[in-house]
Amino acid sequence: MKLILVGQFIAAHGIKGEVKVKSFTEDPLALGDYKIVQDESGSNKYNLKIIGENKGALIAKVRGIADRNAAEALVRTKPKLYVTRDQLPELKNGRYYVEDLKGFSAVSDKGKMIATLTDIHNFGAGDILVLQPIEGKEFMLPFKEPYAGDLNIKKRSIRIMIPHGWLADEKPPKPEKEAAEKSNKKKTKAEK
Amino acid sequence: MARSVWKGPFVDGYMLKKADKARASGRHEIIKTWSRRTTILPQFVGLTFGVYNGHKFLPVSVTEHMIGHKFGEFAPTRIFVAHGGTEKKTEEK
Repeated sequence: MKLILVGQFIAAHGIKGEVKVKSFTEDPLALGDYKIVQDESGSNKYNLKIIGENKGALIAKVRGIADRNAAEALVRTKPKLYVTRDQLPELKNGRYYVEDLKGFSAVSDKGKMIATLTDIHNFGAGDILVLQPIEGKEFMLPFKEPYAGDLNIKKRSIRIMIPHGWLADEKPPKPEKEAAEKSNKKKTKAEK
Repeated sequence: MARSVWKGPFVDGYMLKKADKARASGRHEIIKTWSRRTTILPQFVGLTFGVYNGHKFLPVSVTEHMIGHKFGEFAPTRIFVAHGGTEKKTEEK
């Protein structure tokens, strides 16, 4: 079953068995909404109750952990916390989990498959699709019209438009100073 | 130290020319640039730039709230290690 990483135990906190947890969810406190989280192997399951925040981390109480020693033993290996895909809440229309979109086929206007969607990034300038073409290097496109749109969940496809020259190799322009110096040198040589 | 105000924002000259050309053409081009140091100006809003991060061009769609920042801020140069399966959501545009 597909596991989704939602947090990680960082350290023990206090003497009553509380632990510090780093949350990776969009809303950090949403980690507390999952009744059961598990480690990567699935052999250890934890019932978390978020009781506060401290320096960007959450303070949580784990069922069955009652003292500092038990808490330290729990966080020794800093286990990562996962939930299964089924545990994630349903989203409103038009909103999707990135995990669900991975593997979609990127098709042209005419329906020809061009690439596979491998990931979606956001570096502060909008969502970016990472696409792996059938042949050639990986490339990126902004996730907005007219470059991408028409998500088809049933067909698992997305329409993309590759702008003219986007995949072509180009060399950076020469800096203005260097270019000016070179032209000056040529001129002096020609004069000699 | 902050840049002197009297100098105005730094912009590589050719960026303005490229932006004007792209806007005039009306085609939805992505303007490739290596100039990460260029400040984002109001005349760039609505255009999409491909900012080089040393390996590839990352698409940067310029919006109003990005004015005054540098292009390089939106194209990280280090390998981005995502938390494999973070609960990220995306909205269909």
